Amino acid sequence: MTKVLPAETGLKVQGVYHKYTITKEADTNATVSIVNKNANSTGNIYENHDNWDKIPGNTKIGFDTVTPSLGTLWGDGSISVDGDGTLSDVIIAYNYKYDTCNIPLTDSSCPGYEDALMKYLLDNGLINGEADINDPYYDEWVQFQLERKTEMEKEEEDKQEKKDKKEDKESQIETALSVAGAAIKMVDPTRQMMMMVQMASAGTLDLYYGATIEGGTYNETIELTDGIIIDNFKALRNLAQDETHNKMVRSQYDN
Amino acid sequence: MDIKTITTLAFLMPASAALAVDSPIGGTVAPKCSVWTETSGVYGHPLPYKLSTTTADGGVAASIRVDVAQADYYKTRFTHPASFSSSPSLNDAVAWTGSTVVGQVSVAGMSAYEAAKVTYNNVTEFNMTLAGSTWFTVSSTASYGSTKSLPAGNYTAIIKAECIAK
Repeated sequence: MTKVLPAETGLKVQGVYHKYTITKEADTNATVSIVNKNANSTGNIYENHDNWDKIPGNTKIGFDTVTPSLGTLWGDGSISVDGDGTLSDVIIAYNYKYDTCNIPLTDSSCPGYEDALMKYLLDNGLINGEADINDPYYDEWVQFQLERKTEMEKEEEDKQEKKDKKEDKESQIETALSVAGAAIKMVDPTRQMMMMVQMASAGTLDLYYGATIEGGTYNETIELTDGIIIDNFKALRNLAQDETHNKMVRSQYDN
Repeated sequence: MDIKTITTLAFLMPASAALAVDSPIGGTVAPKCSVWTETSGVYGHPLPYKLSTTTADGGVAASIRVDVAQADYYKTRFTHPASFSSSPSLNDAVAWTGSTVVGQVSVAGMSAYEAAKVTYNNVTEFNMTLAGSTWFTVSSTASYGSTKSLPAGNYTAIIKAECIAK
């Protein structure tokens, strides 16, 4: 039957169709038998017997539904006549079905596809197995992984470095300005002074905080000799020109 | 004693009227015998005056399948044509012949239907004693005016196939 039924795993036969013509005289006896041997044991997995005793020959068409059974259990089939009669135009066809997901790997949409794929990869040493060091692609793969690792480490280090710098800076300012828990101390002028000294001595206040403004007197340097302030005609002329210019420009849009 | 009886009746009557309902019982009868045309007949035109469904004449005999679900409750009746249902105008007589035979069977015992069939006029009856499908082959031949040429055109004849309860 392996030549008749597809080799799909899990295929089950669920019916047998037959058509044949028996030629015989009406007064003779004949029995037509269609059988399939059981591939895994003795006996037959399917039998159909047609009794043509004392009836004229004819063409018979039939379809037998059978309890679905694995196609691998179906052995060689045959059709024969026991008695007086001859067969012609014989057709025997098997009706079968199979689960397309019987092997989940056949389709990614099958239930259990991922598990089956993982098992397949493991079974075939494609993952988590010992690599073939003679494989020319193995060296490339190793090199690629090393470079990839180095790049990742470098990126990670850069990130950490930036993060550390930022944290240090914040920490300095926090430390410099930290007065947490010092509320009582701040009330005491002496202690307040001591805290300021401590903050200054920690070096956490940079030059901005430590800038000193020199004291002293800034004397007037401009002197009004005659007591009269003369208008700046040059400036007024410029303003007049500006106004004329503005009018000229404006006139282009007003018309 | 009489008063008590009258009182009881007066009480029961309205109660009985209020509880009355019509309770229908439904049911569907599925056909146990059905007739199907598997192959429509085609007339061949071997001679100018003749139309025939036989293969030798270039025609196709009709194949009609009868499915019987319950054995020995039905008979089938086939009436092969005795006139055209549509044709060009004919001004002469048409001689009709035909036959119905058991073509194929789904049960070997149905092969005996052929020998047991009853034929009269253009009718053939079969006693469907077994459950299953039986294919009947119906042939028809029409000869026009002895040997007169048939007018050109389309010809149609009807085969009547019936499943009749015994």
